[in-house]
Amino acid sequence: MRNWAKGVVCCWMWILGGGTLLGQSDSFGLRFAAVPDPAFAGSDVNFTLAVTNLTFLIVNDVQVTVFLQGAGTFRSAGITNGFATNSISFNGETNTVIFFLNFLTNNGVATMRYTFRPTVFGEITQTVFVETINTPTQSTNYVTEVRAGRADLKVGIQAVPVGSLAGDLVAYTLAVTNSGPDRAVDVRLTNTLPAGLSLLGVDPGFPFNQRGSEVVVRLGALATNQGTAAQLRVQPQVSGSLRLQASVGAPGYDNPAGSNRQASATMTVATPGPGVLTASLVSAQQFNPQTGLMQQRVRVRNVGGTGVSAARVLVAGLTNTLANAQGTNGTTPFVTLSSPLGAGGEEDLWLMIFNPSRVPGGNPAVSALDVPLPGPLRPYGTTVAVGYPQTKADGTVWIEFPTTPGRQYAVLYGNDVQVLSGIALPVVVAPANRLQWIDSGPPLTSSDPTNAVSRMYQVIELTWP
Amino acid sequence: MLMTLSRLKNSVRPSRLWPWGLTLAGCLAVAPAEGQSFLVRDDWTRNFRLGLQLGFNIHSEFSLDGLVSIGSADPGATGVPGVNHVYDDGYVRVDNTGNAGGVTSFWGYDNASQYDPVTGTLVYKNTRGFAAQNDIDVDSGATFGFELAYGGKIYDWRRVRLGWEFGYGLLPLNMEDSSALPATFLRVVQSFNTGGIVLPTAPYQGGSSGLGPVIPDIATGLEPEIINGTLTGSRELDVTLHSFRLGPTLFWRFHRRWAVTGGVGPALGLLNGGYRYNEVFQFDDGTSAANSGDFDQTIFLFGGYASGTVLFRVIANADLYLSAQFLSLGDVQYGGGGRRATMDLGRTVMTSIGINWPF
Repeated sequence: MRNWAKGVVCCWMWILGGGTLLGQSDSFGLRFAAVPDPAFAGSDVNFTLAVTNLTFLIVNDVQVTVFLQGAGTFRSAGITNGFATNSISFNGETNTVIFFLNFLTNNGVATMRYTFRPTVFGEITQTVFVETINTPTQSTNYVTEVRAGRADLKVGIQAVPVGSLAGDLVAYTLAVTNSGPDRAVDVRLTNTLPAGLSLLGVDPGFPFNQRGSEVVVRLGALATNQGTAAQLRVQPQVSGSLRLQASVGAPGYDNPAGSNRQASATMTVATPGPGVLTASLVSAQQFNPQTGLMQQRVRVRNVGGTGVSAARVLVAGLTNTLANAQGTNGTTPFVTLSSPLGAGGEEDLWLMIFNPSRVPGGNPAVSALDVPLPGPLRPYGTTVAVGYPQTKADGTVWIEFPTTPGRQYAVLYGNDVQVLSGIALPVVVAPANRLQWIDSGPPLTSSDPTNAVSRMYQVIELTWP
Repeated sequence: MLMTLSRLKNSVRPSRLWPWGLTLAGCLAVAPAEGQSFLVRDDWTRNFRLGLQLGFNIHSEFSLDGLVSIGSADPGATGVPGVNHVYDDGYVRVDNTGNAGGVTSFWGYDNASQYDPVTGTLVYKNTRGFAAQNDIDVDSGATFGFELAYGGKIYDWRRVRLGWEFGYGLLPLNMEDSSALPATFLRVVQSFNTGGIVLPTAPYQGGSSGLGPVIPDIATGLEPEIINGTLTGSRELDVTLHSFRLGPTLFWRFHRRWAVTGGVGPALGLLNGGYRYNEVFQFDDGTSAANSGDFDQTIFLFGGYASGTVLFRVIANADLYLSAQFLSLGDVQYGGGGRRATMDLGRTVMTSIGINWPF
């Protein structure tokens, strides 16, 4: 139909309709759709806008204006029975798309399609104006969420300490993975600390902030199928079951439901058992040129009426470092006898002290506690080839392995190749290119190797923690 | 400049010498220089040229004569505690505790054969010198560098011009003697008591932390050892020759495209770099030790040069040139402690090819 003919028809319809269309509340029906919804930064989103003429008349020269606000690039626009134009604001944040429609019949539907590619996550806000002669301008707002990407972030709580007491300096690991499909930027690990658990620090140097009981660790970017881990150093102030909770996410990322975005675990903080134990020094400090350490023997005796599953010897008053300390309670280092001690039984343990003067120092004050058996720790790392263990005349077992100075090494041991007893603590920082590791029994291992039916060793060069 | 060009255009002269450059000119697809004069007073009065240079006929003589001393690490004094001892095959140094208790964790050894389980001692050796005879002449071959020169006019008549030229050349030189030589080595021998510890397997390199196996730190001097072996590795002269020259030139344009120029004068040489050695001592007992060092210095040399250049006018203000230069700067000697390398720069021949801009 020619334009003049359409004008005549329109004018005739206008007269039939009472001479005016002003005042009608909803002259047009609007349907809006975004595919995909939510949209993703860096990918096209297709918008469809359907305008339905509800005026009961044919309307001419319909103008549909879309103010599209959001960082990104306008890609295309199209309309049947009309044309579209696009312009960008000076600040580049508002795209204006104008659709012109020659006419729209009663109940006729005009479908407009346009495509936009957002560049950052957030929102795309659109204000749509429909205007024509003799009808009030009709406007509607639409908001489309823009996600930064799709990431499948999962978190797990690992290496939760077992057998610790209130006041111990302990740590646990939060392992995070991204199964994709997109690289996730600014991954944040949120850890909720239970009451009675104090945060001492986060390793290895991730930035974090703490607000009340909530600790947010910024892990940075995680590529697809990449993982990382943060170790939280904490100190329980109370005994009991402490519930650890963690969640992971990345602002703006779509994390599919059902994945392990959240994790929880229980850290049991024990109280010392009822066993009555004594500890006493049974030798003077003596320099051992094989290790470069002063060594001193301490005897733990169970003077109570019941056996204990493990004993902790607290070593107070040292002015030098207790080199074989297996933990610290407050500021007091300790070693642990990781084997049962029956009523009336006794066991000797070595204290290894690094004294730079290489002469005997003052004797420490030692005391013993009945504690639960510490849980076996399984470190992360690579296995190191070890020579065949050598049993010496004094009953000790020696193993020697190549090392990289400054790296950490853990020796796992057990009755069989599964080395189920876990790590012989403490983990060793290699001082040279080879390390002689000597199993002389407690507290390094649970028992004197001469008393073991068999003993297998595995050396791990630690990669974590 | 526009006036000069205009003058050139109006003074064309034939030449009977054109066949001299016919071949080269024919190979060059360049714009013709029709209409140019070859009276030199109509030509440009100054020139600057830049070219690739090749140096030839440079020799060096490497010699080892008598006992060659070695600046290797100090084996340290015997009989005293708390000093550093460094050997070909290990070390016994002062650890972070200052060797408290007369022992150190900062020790290492290379070979199991250094340990005598009967006496419980570790034996270390430190090569202090060697005797070898060597006298070898090494030619540098063709060496690439570059040159640049700037010149001007003093006087001209018809096709000849008397001028002057200042030139600079840079020529990296590397000559190496990598011959394997029989040699006799002198080694200081010292031992340490291990204090009864079980030694870690060799090679072992203990750290300075004070942790780990420790041994007493007092060295016992043993009889020095003379042992035969082979000297391998390399001795090299690695220098850069900067040459400066200034002298009069005589320029003759014998064709509208072709010209020759010659010059003589004094030259100054500046040599940077020095004698470097990176050797391995292969002892007849199967052990070995590394030895490296250098004698670096900056040396000034004085001499003279004579040069001749052929120029081909490509366009109005650009020539291609081919030059030969004889440079005589004399001999220069590097070394010390029984080592010597003499570089003969007395008969250096350099050729260069490049572009000359008259202006």
